[in-house]
Amino acid sequence: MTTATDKNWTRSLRKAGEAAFPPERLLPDSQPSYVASWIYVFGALTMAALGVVTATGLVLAVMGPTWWHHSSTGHFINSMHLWSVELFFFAMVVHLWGKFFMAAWRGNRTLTWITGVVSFVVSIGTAFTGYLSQTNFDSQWIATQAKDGINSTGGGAVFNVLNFGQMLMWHITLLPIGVGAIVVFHVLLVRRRGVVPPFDLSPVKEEVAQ
Amino acid sequence: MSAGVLEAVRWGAVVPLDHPNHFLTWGWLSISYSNLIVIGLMVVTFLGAILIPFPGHKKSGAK
Amino acid sequence: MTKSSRRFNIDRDVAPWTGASRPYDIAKEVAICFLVIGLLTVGLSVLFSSPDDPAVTLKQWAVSTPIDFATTAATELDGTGGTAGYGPPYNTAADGPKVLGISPAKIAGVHIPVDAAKDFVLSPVAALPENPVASQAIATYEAASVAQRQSWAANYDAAVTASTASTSGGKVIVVPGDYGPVSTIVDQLVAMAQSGALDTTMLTQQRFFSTDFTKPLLFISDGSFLANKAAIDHLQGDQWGMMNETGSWPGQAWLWLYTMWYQVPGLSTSDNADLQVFLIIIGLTLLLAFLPFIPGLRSIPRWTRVYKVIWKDHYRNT
Repeated sequence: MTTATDKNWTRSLRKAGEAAFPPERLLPDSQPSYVASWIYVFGALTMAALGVVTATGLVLAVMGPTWWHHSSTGHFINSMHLWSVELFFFAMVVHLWGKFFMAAWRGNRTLTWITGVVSFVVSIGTAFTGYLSQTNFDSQWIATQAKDGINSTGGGAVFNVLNFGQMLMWHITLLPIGVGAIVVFHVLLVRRRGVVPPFDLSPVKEEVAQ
Repeated sequence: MSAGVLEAVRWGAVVPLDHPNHFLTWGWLSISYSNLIVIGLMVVTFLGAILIPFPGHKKSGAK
Repeated sequence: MTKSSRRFNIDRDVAPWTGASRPYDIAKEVAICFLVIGLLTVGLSVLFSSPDDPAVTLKQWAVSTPIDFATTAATELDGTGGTAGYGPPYNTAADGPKVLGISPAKIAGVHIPVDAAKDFVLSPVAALPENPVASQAIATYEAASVAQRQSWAANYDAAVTASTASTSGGKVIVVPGDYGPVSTIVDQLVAMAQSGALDTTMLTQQRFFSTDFTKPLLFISDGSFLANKAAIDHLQGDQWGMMNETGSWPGQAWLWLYTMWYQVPGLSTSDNADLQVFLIIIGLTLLLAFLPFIPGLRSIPRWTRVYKVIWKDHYRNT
């Protein structure tokens, strides 16, 4: 709480941050006893996959977009980039199913759910521009097909999937920044609100709910 | 590992997938076996994740 | 705060947790997850590698299927080609897909102007150095009336798509007819493409540096060469292609829902499918995002009772 005497912006910001995210909430060493299922691991697995995607993407960026066509090392890094993306979506979908069946939006966690959906959508966009940035037949074909979908929305006027330079920029700067920011926000919300409790099956609550 | 083997592994030759895919076609549905395997594994993983007992949680503080 | 005044809804609200806690090590969990994903990534990469079908060139197209190439060039001249008749954002030849009479593409307007006849055919041929045959043909074409040009191009288009069209030594042979300079222009373009010169000319026709492949990609996708190659790998739109990949690798399986709508009878034959499918997907995505607010949908987890399996230990102990 900011008191009338506390007019220092920095101090207010720090106090708000400390109140929202005390260290033991940010990096917890205990969980409610109901958090006991393998399904809880898939959020962390998704993040780990995103880490590997980012790391391999950074290596590909060092040598440029066509390196992997003629270098065996480049090709292997590209394989790692592809498979970590497959693992990323795999883990994210399992995580999504789990959170759906737990109705994890309950108890003021709606924004956590929405940021999760948004990060899924933005990730699809990032993967899509990645396919366009491969500088091979896939990129040619996907670009010429996707243009019709995007042009039909009017979006083709600014987002030209046939412009390799533009798509590469979206893939390696704009969209990763977007995914990163949303994922950080999502995880902070999870840490702030905690893990959703099970449905309370006591008959009193059920009656009230009807 | 010799340089030649390493080179082959980097290009990826253990299980070559550079051949036409097979497709499961049923009415207007058509899906490649590879995608089917991926989606099937997702379902299996999900079922495993909720069914397989999570270790070390019998009592609170039991770990 | 309205929270306390609202009635408790089991699909929206929870009572604060007052039960026991268990030890947890978030750093260890994240570290193990990184290790698992890292090992899986390396393992899958060693086992399966990744696809890399080389990009096709205008040269390959003109060499392997000169008639398809010549046909495409003719359609760009007579206005029946894919790009020539596309509409926004490339030109005003059409309105683009509509829903409820509204065409978002038309509203957005022409932002990437492409003159298919000029950009794909006439300019490259006119740029051929020290080639009096080519310059004479272009001069004759440009001096003619619009109706005359259209007639020549349509005549040639009909001849090159007829079964009598053939090739000899890479050259396209059509039965004699009233094509004016069009057959010469197309012949010159075919030869130029077969030499590889068209690939560079088209990419660099504006400037030295270019990272924009809009024109060569539009041109090559107007022919059948690219699509026929894609069809082999089931990559076409009506083959659930959006989620498929070249070779036998898995593709973007997460696009199954998007590509599914293109197969649904009614949509699969609709001229406005691109816009219709996009709107359906936007609607479904909004439904998913705002699921916590939608009565009925948000109760599915409670009705399906999967949560009883997830929290089986909790329910057993309480």
